Amino acid sequence: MCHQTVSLVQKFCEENYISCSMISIIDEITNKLNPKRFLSVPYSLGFPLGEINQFENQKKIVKQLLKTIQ
Amino acid sequence: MIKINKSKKISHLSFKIKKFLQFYPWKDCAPNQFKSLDKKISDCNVAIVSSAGFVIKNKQKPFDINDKFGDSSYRVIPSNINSNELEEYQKSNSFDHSGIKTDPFSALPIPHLVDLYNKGFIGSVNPRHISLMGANINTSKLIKKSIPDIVQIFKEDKVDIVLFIPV
Repeated sequence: MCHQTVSLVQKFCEENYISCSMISIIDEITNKLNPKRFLSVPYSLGFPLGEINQFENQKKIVKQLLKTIQ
Repeated sequence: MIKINKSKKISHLSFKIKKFLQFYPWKDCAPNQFKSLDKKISDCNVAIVSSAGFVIKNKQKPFDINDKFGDSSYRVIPSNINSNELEEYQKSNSFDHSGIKTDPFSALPIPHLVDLYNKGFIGSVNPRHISLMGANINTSKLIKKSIPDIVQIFKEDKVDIVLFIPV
């Protein structure tokens, strides 16, 4: 449900001309939701940016997520 | 250290959850209109929406984890929040909550954005971010009440980019 909740917010932000991108943990669900942009990550639910307390690795994911927009 | 299953497929979930997700009537969230970003990311104001169900401890009302349709309300989290001020109220039993409890910023990466701002990769970190509890089955309240408020907050703050972090 998390994917759907954020995808719905994404839809209305995009329709108000705010650019969006989301993390996709389960691509089967993301593909059904059809958001404008997403970054597929190889992690499990509960760990959207990978291992905890790994700031630099997490930041790389955030940077990749931003890069999907431009 | 917590071992993370590298699978991102639906197949790693339990049979019961997998069946539920396979037959769930997912909403089509493709925007009907949109605009391509017309400035550099290094000039953009960036905000986050997380579905981890964080509230500010002792200051904000917890999400209702007993609402069987899911609590569709939202909380505003300021950029200057400390991780020990965040408390998680996520009712979903489909994932391991230990990671976001131990490292809340792994699902609300504000310090990561601050670092990217300090390095000039983004233009600014929005002072307000949004926390939702993702386990919403009935989305009508979310769509009618919370989402218009959230969009208004981002418009008031002149947000250019929103990053979405489902858990």
